[in-house]
Amino acid sequence: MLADMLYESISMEKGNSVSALLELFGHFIQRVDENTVVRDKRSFGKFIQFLLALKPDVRRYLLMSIVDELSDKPIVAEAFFDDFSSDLLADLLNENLQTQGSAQPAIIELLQRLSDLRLQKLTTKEAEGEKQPVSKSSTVLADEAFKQKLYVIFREEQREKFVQETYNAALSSLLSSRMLSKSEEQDFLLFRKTLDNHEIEVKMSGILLELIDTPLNADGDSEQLGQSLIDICSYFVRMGDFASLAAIYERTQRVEHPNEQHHKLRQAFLQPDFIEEILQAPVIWGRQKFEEIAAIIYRVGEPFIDPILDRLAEEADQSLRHFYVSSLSGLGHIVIEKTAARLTDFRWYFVRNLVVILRNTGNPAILPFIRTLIKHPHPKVRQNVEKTLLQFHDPDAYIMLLSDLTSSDFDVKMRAIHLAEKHHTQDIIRKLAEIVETGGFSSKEFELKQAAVHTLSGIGDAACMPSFERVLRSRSFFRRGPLNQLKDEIVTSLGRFSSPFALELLQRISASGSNKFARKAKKIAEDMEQRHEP
Amino acid sequence: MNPDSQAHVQSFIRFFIISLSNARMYTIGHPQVARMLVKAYESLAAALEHNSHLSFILLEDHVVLNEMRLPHSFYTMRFAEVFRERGCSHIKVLSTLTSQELGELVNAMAMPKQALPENLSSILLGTIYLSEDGLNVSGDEEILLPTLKDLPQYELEQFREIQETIRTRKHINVSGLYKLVGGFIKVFRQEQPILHALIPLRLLDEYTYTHSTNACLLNLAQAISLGIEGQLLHDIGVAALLHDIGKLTIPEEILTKTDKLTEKEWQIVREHPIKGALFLMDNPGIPRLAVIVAFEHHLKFNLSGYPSVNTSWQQNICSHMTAISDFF
Repeated sequence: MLADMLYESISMEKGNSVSALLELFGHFIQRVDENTVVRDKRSFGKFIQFLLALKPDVRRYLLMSIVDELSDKPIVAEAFFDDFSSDLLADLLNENLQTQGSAQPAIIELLQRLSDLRLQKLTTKEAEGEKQPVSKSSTVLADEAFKQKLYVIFREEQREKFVQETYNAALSSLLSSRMLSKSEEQDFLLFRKTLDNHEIEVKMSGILLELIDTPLNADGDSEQLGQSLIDICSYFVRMGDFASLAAIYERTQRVEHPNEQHHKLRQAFLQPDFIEEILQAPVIWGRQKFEEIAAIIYRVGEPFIDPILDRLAEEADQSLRHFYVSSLSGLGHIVIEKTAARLTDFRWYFVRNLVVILRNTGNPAILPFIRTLIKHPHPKVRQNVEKTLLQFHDPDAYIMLLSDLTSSDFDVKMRAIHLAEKHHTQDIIRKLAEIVETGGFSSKEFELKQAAVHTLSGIGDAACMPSFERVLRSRSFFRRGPLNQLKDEIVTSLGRFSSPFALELLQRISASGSNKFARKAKKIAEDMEQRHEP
Repeated sequence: MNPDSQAHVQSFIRFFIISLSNARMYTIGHPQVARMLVKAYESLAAALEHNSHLSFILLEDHVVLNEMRLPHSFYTMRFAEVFRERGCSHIKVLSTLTSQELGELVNAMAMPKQALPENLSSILLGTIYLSEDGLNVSGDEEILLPTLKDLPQYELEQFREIQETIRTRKHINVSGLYKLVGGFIKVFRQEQPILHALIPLRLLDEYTYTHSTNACLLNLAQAISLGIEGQLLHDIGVAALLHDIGKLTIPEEILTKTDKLTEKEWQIVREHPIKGALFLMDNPGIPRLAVIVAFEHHLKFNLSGYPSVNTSWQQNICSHMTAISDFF
């Protein structure tokens, strides 16, 4: 009857009456305590029966209004919800979620307290080995019924009752798309890799570096941390992880106020066995690690110079010799003194590499050492000396080059012709023109003439035009074929000159007759004129 | 054992571990594997010149050689670890050892699923473990976990014990931690779906316990779903259990303070990952993953959070997992 009256009040929107009723219930719950629940169980039971008899929407309305009061009275709350079915509890939570978007803290707290209390009782029962039967009146709720209620509330398949729809939709979409996208898969594999043993060591080295830096370790064993880091470095070098090694070294170098452990770590990189292991690394790991190994050598620097020079002197493998030369060259000016000290070595191939290293430093301080080798007995050494001196525009270099252009050694002469394109004086240009104009037409001589024409057109100096013209107007009964080929080379090369003298020469050749050179010269001249038209 | 022999054995351990690590990371045929193996053999042969045999007993991360404990180092830890992974804690090497036998051992250990060779006449592998009753020589110690219902109480006691050792700054009972995690993993294997295993723990009013064990359970759930198993799975569980260990260095009044923390108090809170990592570093047998997670668990995906790290830092996936578990 009370329930019917209440329903009527709400449906007729008798606001004042509803407020009065809610207030009445509020007062009632406030007055109910644990003693009431036990002492006056029957009356309390009737009140619960009344609530159960209400229509669901009215009951929800009422329950929502008294939840705050109940959250502070777990025993009363337990008794209160004892006869509620699981669905009613779920309904209450659901209503709360729908109206507020998330569960009201009071409801969550209430459920939490119910859980805590229930657990305490279960624990007591277990501690007593269930020797003493626990009556329903003292536990208020039956185990199974309570478990069932919690299960209903938390069970996954009904999450749509408690979780916002948008969240549910996103979750379902994630779960239904069982396959990871390609980028997600790559991300995952990258992350999964962080669990590899070696990656863990790399991360540990990073953390150890942080830890030896930290003032928080004042009372800790920093020596042990430092030693662990040194051990990890020795491990990395033998595992071929030079990138991690370089990162550690760089980090120790960046520390503004290094402590004892930093100093010890730096020292570890300078130890002969460590350097030896690094230098053994290119042999073991091959080309693919050259760059990473070189990065360590560049960072550590000076201690590597002598050991690398020792290896360079004896290494039979060409790619390793290249690696040593390039590593030493990359060290810059600090290699000059130690490298120059070995220029008197009896092995010409070693001396040649030393000259290359010195040249690669790009430092003019090497010139006095290089000049001592101008008359070295081995031509390969002399060539590199010459190339080095030319790089610094040293006057001695031009004297050497001029001398080579008159050499009877084909290779020496040919190399000098090529070098002359970038390093020339008027004397050298004259000498090149002389090579074109004079001499015979053996295959080697012809090759030299051809190369000289090419070099002269690369230089682009018109000083060679008279020589070219003389060759173009010359005739040879016995060497007609090679001479015509040379003329053809010259006519073609004239197109590469930007000098007006070249155009004039082409026009003169064109006007001189109607043979194939004249026709070719005319065509090239026209092309040149077109190029120069604004 | 004379100091020279001991130094030879330490060299052997170093080269053995490097050879094995290279074999695992690259291939067994990699020249560095063979090179390090030669060095390992030479070192061991030198040690055997003055000893009829060498007996290694592995206790957590410690290596005991002919009844003398070797100094603790990065390499001895790895040595203990690689044999522990194979359930082996006693290695006896006789003076008749050949380089081929050592090579066979490395080859077998390089492949996780390959059984260790049983026909090596000069290398004897076995198991020794200590229990409260003394020395046990065989059999697996069973953890009795009849039902999920019994789990919280059982683990709670173990966890309290572990926590107490940490509070009193004693060394952590690492095997206890592994037992604890092993128990969780067994429960996971028994109870499906995995998340059902979490419900009883959430009901307990033991914050530290529930927080750490829940993080452990959630980490294990994540790791299992990623297909991780074996020793790594255990390490991930232990890492989660210990992730907040640095918090024990924060004064109680700061931890329980309800008002806004002062900048100085925040500073103390922000130090706990470093202090946790430092503490764990000092404990033999703690998996490296636990140190990493203790250090990184307050770092966010974009490397904000604390402690501050350089921009090239790449967080370990286990730290990501623990951060997620920690949040829940």
